[in-house]
Amino acid sequence: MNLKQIEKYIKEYGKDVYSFCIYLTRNKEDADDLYQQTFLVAIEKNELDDDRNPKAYLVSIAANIWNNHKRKYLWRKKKADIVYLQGKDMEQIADEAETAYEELVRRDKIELVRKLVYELPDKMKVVILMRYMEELSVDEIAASLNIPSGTVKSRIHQAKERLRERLIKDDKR
Amino acid sequence: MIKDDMDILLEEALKPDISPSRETNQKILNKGAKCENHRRLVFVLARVVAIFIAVICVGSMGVYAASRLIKKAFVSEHAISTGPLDDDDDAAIAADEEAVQIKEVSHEDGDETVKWITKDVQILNGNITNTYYTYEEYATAVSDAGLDNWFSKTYENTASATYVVTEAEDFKEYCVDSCILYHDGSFFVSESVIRGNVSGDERHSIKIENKNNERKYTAASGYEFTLVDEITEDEAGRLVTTVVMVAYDDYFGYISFNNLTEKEIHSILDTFVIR
Repeated sequence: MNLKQIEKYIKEYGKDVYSFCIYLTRNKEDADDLYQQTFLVAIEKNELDDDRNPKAYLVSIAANIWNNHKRKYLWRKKKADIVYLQGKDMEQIADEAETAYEELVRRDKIELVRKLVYELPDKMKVVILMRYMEELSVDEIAASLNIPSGTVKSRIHQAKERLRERLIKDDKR
Repeated sequence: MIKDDMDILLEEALKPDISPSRETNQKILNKGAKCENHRRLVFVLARVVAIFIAVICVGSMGVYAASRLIKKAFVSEHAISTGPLDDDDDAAIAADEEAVQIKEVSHEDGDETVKWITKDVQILNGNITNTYYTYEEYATAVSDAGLDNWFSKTYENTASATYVVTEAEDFKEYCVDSCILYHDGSFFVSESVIRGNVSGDERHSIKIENKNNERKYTAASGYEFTLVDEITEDEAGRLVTTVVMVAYDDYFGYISFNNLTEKEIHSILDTFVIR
């Protein structure tokens, strides 16, 4: 791959891949490392191709590197977790038509969902991120992680149920 | 698929909205660019007569044993080889590369029990099987492959390290390729061993384009390197790559250097060792 091609893929998919890395690692330093390593592996393998769903390919590399090297990342002294729930991130989600109160409630809910996803066990978190953040199909996720489609569906279902229970519990408080 | 309330909530909450810094992206571009243009073709010519020179041990630390057979480098118009090339062979090396048909067979991801990160199997032209293993570091790749580590020091900052096992009908080749970042540039190591129905008289050649500035350097180990510059020009500008061939016993390979001064190249070659 030449420099121009690398730049193109970073421009098109950098945000998707980086957001994915942030949620996996929960740490900016590790997310930077994982993100860089993902692209370097993709460059080395020289298989990034517009005809082969580059986003799915990059995300699967990130997931697999993370899965194999969790121990290496986790032993590092942790810096503060990403402050991802505040400020500008929330502004993108706000709907101008809502009242101030409804907007506040909604923002709280979004913030809570993010926090709950952040805390999911890795096996559930990876499939949820691939499905809802990266918009991959069940079959694409199964192929990326080398697991059966049934397992993907089951993990998505379990994760959603877990999130739903926590949200209901939070509503009752 | 019908979406429920949780699907909609998750889509909204998890929309990607965190961008990497410009500095982080630039690091990828720098590393990717530094490892471009390093890979080159290696040709093996079967010959009856092999020309080589045995180097006598000079008796100091870090020098290879007298039993190692070092092969001298011969530079022709389009190649560096382990023996002199006639014009026909040199022209054949310079000719356009033929397209290779590649069939992907399998992909695996490593776990805690292995040192490799990924393993891929491909079939080339229907009759050659390549198994690729990727690693984090050059030293890990050569150790796992059972090949010589060519350096007396550990270089941090490996951009890529791949071990490839090539199986053809009557031979097997074991090769480690690695790109290592060094100061503002990089160097690339490619080392391989062929086993099987090989006579040992084969001549190995590395393709060079637009060669320039051939010179010698005797490293700290006593190994005499022949350095040749390859000049290439494209839309990115003018690129000078310095190449040295390495050949001893049944090992063959090269080290190429990008964006490094002559002093930096010498300092790397001074860490070259045949154990």
